[in-house]
Amino acid sequence: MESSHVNKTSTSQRLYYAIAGTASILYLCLTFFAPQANNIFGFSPLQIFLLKVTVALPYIAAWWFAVYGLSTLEKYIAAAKEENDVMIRLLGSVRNGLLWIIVSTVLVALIGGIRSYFANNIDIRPFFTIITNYLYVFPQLIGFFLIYRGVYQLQSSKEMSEHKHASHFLTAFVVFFISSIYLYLMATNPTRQFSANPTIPATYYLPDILVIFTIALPILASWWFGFSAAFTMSDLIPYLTRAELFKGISRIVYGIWAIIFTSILIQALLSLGGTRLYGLGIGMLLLIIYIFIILQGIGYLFIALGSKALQKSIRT
Amino acid sequence: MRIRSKIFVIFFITSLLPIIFLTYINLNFSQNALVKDTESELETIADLQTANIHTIINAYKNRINFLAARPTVLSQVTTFNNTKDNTQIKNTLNSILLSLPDVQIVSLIDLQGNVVVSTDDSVIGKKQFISQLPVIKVTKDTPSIDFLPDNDGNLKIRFRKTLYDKTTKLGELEFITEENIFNKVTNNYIGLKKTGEVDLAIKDNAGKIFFITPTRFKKTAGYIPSTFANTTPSAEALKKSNTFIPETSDYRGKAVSAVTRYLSDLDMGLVVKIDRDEAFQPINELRDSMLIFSFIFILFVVMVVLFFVHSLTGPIINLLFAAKGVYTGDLSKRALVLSKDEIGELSASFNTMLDALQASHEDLEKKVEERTKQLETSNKDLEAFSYSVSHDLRAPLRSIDGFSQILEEDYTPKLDDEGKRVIATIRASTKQMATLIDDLLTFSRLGRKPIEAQDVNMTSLAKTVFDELKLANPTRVIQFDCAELPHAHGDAALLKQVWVNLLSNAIKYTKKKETAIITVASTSDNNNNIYCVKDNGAGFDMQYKDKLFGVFQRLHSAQEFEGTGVGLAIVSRIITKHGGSVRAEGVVDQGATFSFSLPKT
Repeated sequence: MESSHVNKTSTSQRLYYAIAGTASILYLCLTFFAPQANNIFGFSPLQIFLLKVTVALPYIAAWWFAVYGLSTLEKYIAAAKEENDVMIRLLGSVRNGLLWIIVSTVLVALIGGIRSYFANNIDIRPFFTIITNYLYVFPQLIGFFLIYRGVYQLQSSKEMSEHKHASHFLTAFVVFFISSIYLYLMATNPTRQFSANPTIPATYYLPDILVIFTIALPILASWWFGFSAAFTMSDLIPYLTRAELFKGISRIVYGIWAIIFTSILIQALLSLGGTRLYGLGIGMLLLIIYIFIILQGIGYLFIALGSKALQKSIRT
Repeated sequence: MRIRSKIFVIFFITSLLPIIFLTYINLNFSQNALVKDTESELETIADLQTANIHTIINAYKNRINFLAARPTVLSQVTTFNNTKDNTQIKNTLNSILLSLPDVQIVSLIDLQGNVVVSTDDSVIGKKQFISQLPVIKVTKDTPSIDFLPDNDGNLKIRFRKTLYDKTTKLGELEFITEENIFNKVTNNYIGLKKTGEVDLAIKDNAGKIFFITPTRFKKTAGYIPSTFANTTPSAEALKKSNTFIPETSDYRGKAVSAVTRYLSDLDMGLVVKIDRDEAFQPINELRDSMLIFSFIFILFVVMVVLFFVHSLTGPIINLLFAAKGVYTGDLSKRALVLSKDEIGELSASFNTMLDALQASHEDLEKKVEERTKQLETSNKDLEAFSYSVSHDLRAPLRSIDGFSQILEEDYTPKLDDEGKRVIATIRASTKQMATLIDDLLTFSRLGRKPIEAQDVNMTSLAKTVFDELKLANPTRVIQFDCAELPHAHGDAALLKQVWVNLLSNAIKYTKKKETAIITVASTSDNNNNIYCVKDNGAGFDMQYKDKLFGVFQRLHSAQEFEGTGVGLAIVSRIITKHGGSVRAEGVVDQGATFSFSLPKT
């Protein structure tokens, strides 16, 4: 059925694209016009430029995948509302959750760009570090919680209640394993609160008690919500009766997994601390950064592909 | 555990184990190699510094031995001892001092141990003159080497050599160094990075361990007592041990790797050590790199396994879901064909199979419907035929009975005995035929009549039926016992017919008994109430029990016990219609028990 909502580009969708465009330009300007920071690895200007290009462009590409995915998901939700689709509540929550996560990703990138202008100002460094850390933590917690709540509501619905499975074992298994390494890295981080080396910032600039309660625990909770939601969605997908829905929601689940893994990777890098991070060497460091960017891009690409498949299911 | 959890855990552990193994092997080999390197470096420095100490000590020893053996010195000392004129010997001591730049004081000690001549006049007449502190250590060698703390806590080294004129002891020649000559050794940090150091320790006469040179990290103290006397590497060295200790704690309580040397001639312990944090820094960096690499690899594995598990088990679970739908009777369910691999083919084959099954099922349904219709038509025809035959037979029978009655009433006087017997036989046969037709009609009606279920008081019904039957047999002596029976849920008229047939049979088959005993009782199981009618009549042979409930089946002749052979067939049909069952037990000439069960609800 061709719905009038499907082809109609709503105001909110236009807003998504406008914000993404503005943020992209701003981020590019902040990145390419940033003053020369401490050149720890002794790169040439050409190498620095290439690094910026290979990091900034894929990073922005991931945002655009995300915006396309959100916008397409929005169209599907608008159309599915008319069809009284059972997935509507879940996908609404997924969209809201992803919106929080994407906004936090963009804001972190922009603040990181601004911070590079104050790289030599040691006094302002803690402020930027604390803001960035909390921007990673809390929007992500809200985002994954919204997705989890949507999945929980779907699971409790009349249509899906008979297929209720507890995915706690798998969630606990994965979260426990990953959390153990994360907490170990955090506990052994030599620059957790202070850094003896002025060129290397501390990771948190916060007392341990605040690090535990306002960073570690919310992060662990957000991973729990994220994994639990993704596993439960993965459990419910086989009971869908249309191939397009199956494929579409599967890709969204893949996307959510990739986003969770991106979050884990970034938190693992943060908890490693500056000293150990630089100790890894430039090769390893670049490898991790590119893995992070690729993973984030893949995550949002899956969301976009999933949304597209869902939209196709309405057309057919 | 579900299949996806199983696959995930198996894959996860399978990929985790090699990573853990490789990381362990890598770190272990690297650590062993680094430990060997560290040991080798520390051993080299320890041997070098031991040699340096001996070189320094031997230089002083050689000088004092040389001077103490000089005839000029010996003759001047003899002269001083005899004349107490110190002019010559003092000049000699001053010239010796000038030739030894590291020495602070050169003195002559008399036989009582007092300084009698010295380059420093202030110490003349004293025994202990560096400070008020006691001498830490006095070696028994000759020349003796003693450690003297000064007032600032710095150690000075004293060399003493006894002077002999042939065999006569003249006194002792003494050098006291300007500063601690071992500082040169311990202040040299070449090859020791940022945290390595060489420590020299001795035990005083009370057994207490002292560092005799300032340590790298506590420079203010000239000598400091070791607070970990029994566990520090210095204590180990003073146990005369020459060894490498990969991990121990030093005087600061820090973890160090150390090499110990015992200098037996000086009774001194030498330790070369380095902080493990620094020595094994490359290992820590390697461990961090391996940890991060392993973590990223495991994340990658987890992600790939999750994708794999979902894409593999999703279609299988969907197939299972469709199969369960079929199992519960929903043939419209279909599996999703999501790929072109084996699972996709399996789903497609399953759907094709379901299509065929559904078509076959629909075909079968149609055939069953047709057959049912045909059967219903045949049944109706049969019942109509049976009913009409029974009904049509009644009219001529009634005529025969009517005319034979007229014949009997109006022509009896004209008939001889044989004629009367024949008419009586005709009338009896007609009655029997009428009864048979009535029973057949009842039997055929049962097939068509629907059950009008209600609560039925079976006790009252059985007793009423028996009373009615008793009226028809007034001469019989019957002992009837009816227990309290549970109520039944059924058609009251039909159930009455059951009681009539069973009780009339009981009365009929006990007619040869003087006193008939008929008992009605009940039992029950989980689902049914079971009602029994027991008599002490003719009974039957159990091998014929299956024939009892068939139409026209009789085990006794009509002459012996009148009847049509339809009564028990009617009972069986009524009870079966109510969802129950009938049963018979008997012993010839001892009686029979007929029981029937009815559902409780």
